[in-house]
Amino acid sequence: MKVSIPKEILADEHRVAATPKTVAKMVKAGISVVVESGAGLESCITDEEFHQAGAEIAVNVESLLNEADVVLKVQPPGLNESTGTHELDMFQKGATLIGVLQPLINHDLVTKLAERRITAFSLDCLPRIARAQAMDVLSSMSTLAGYKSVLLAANALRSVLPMLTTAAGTLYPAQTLIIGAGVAGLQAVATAKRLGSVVKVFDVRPVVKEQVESLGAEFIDMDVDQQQAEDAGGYAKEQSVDVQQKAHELIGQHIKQADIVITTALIPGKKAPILINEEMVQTMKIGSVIVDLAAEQGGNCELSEPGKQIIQHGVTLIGLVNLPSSLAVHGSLMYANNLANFLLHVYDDQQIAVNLEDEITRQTIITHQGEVLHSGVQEVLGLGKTAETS
Amino acid sequence: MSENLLIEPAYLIAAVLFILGIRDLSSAETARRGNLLASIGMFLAIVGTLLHADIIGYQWIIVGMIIGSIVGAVMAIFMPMTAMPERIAIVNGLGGAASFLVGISEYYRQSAEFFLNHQFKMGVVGFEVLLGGLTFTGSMIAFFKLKGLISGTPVTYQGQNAVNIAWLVLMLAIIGYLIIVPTTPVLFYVMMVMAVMFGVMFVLPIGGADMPVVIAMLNAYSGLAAAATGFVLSNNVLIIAGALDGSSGFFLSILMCRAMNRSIGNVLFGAVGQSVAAPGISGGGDDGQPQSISVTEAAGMLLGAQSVIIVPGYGMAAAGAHFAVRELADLLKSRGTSVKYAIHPVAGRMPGHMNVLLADANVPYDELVEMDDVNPEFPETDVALVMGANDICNPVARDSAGTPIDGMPIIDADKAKSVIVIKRSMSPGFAGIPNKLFVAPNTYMLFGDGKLMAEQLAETLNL
Amino acid sequence: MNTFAISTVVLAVEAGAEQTAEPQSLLAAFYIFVLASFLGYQLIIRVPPLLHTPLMSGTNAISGISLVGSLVAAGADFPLVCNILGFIAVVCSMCNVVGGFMITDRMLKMFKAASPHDKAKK
Repeated sequence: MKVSIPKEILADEHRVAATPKTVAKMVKAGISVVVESGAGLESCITDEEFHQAGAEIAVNVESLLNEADVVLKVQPPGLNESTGTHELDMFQKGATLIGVLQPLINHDLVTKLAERRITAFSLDCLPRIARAQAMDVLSSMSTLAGYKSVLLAANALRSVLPMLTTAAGTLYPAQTLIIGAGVAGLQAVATAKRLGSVVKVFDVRPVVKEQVESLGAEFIDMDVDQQQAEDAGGYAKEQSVDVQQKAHELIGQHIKQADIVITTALIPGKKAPILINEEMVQTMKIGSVIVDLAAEQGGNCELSEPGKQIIQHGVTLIGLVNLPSSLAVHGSLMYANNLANFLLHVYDDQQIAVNLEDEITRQTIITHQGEVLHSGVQEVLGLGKTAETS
Repeated sequence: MSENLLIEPAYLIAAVLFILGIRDLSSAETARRGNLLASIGMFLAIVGTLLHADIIGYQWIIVGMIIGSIVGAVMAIFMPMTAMPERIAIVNGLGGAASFLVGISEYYRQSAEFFLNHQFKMGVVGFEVLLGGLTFTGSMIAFFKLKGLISGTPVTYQGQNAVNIAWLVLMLAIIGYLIIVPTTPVLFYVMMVMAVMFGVMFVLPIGGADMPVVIAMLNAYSGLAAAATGFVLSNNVLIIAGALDGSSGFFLSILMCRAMNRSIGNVLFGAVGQSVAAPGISGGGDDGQPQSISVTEAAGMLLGAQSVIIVPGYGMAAAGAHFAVRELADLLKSRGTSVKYAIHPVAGRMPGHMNVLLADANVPYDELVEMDDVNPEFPETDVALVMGANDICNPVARDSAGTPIDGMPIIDADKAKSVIVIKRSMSPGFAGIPNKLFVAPNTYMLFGDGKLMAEQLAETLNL
Repeated sequence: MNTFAISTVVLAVEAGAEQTAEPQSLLAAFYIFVLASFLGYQLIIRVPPLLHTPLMSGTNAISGISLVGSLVAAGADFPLVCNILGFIAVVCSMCNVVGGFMITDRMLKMFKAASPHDKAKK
């Protein structure tokens, strides 16, 4: 079985879907691996290193994709400017694609995958079970995003983060407000604490209070009933109107003293909730910074713009996207590991086994042999078929 | 009669020594001295008694004391560190047996008229036998449970608490009756048998893990029995020592329950009506009951270890125990013990959770070992110290199928020679299932707050 | 300070009590019992979990005071049955006393033996 790893064509994507370590792992399992020349350069991996690990290096991307049984990617397939062809059109019909496809949003992509009879697995749909933890890309990438967000904020802030009492005066610590205590939020808490900032955290789920406090930060209590706040997978749900109102008030209260605000609130498959409106930004201190990690999904702040760093009302709004890509060395390391673990899970004797009894396969498979199998996607596309997915 | 003049001062000094002894036992620096003082007090009490005018025949006494001393010394010397509660259980039972027998002896030798004229004495003899008897058999059952000769699983049946209470009331009623009408020896002997049975009935429904609390309670009862004997014999040192023992034992058991985060009512009567044994987890221990130890015993195990691997989990984070853990590790290292930390990839509630905390506590990075590298070392490791970790070291993930954690790789802590688990209670972890590690035969549970336990272990090692 | 005040009272009462006058000594005995119980409470209420086991073992040894009663039963001019019961009781409570104090001492000695001072010499 041949697995190919092309160079990512999206301009700001510096990661690659394999590392020499994962290549060696795949080769050991009897898979032959081909990597496009230069694919790993922006992650500091040379062709030579891939080759040493057992991969073949391909120069021509068309033949690379054409001959592949399985293609591993970071970004969803798109239009390759240099050849003028869509990546998917270069795939063999019936090949397998594994990556993060965001199928609930990328409708056209899903349709095209079905047309090309591609067996597509999207790792952002993994079930949150213990066995799948080693494949959890969302967790890996959120960790990096959370970490990086603090560095970006600290860099944009014109003060230091920790408290320093010096002969030249006392520098008071920066106040950081983190909204959303998921993986990204918690990592941001840890990073901000390490840099010496005073950290407060807001989240609608009462269960994270203990987790936040275990990292030494203060939790802003909301008095919300646990049932309302969390869904079965532990993600925050959309809240009722009066809960949203209360959240607004509390955030508005605390945001006035914040030097750094990092927002991480996402709702799977839907637009991100607006938690900071223009009015609230106007009450913030001049020189303070907001890092909006949800910018790409609509943003938690009304004023942030995806992909940009701007200043409004004296406040720096950072809406930069794809933060894991800026940490390409570890981004690729973690992503490649997640991918390889998944691949080896569905790999069986020179083939990809599509076993719908297996919860992991069932939840991540988007299309197969021309049909859309993912129930969530079916709903969104209005296909109305019933499948065995939960 | 000059002998009697010596007795009272001897008893007085003995009582003082008991009081000072217990006070000293309450503090780490003076504990050993306290034990010594109390033993000197006991010696004086014995000497004083031997001088008592009533005693005329020494042959039984001498032979008895010699046999008793030898047996007692043997038990004390040939005893492994982890069998402490068992030994305490036996000797406590024997103390109760002594009161029991003395009570019978008293009843037997006095005529009915005597008791008619000394009703208080009758009552006290009754209590002596009641308390002594139940302490004796209760302690023996505790011993058997701890040793694993009887299943540690609570033996319960519907309405058990009601039956036990009724039994107790009946015995008290008999004593009451005997006070008024002392001429029915049959009733006395009936109560005697009932007391012996009651000890069994009272302790059977209590889980094996709670035996230390039971022993503290039974200790209190044997103290009360001794006090009762004191009332019967009009002997003040018996009353004082017995009362000291009784109340300190009683409050000690309450303290121990608090440290386990449970009420004493729950410990003594709580098992009735509940199934305590974890369903579906068989094998492990002798019957699926966890073995609980105290800080003292845990410290002993750590002291004797050449190699220790610490397995941190979310519990350590929640307790804020990481600084105390590092101090404990430093103490162990200063004694030449090798210390490592086994970091599971998903320990905690976020990636790198353990790393953040341990780095904060200044644990050098090179002491943190990842799962695949550290697992092969467990079989050669003396003690695995599990700090608030649960699912990530649950052998069920490795050995059984069909659980929420099926297929998740774990830290093989169960393969260490001994395992100490520091945890607040037996509550399940994130996955909500019971942990087979906790009921394994080489695992010892140290119940308490993680930070407090780590600090106290460090303090003990520092002694 | 509290503890000492109580101890003094207890001992004063005991010293004042006579061994044989019944109603008076009964009342005094009762006072002693109550005060000693209270004293016991004061002494151990602040014991840290660290010392629960040695304390349990120590007070257990003290409950071997039942030996005193056993000695009387075994050695006084009582019927043979009583002497024999007393003999068994002496054996039992002697175990309790000797075993109890030795076990407690072993427990506490363990820490002394492994002090950093000694280990450093190895």
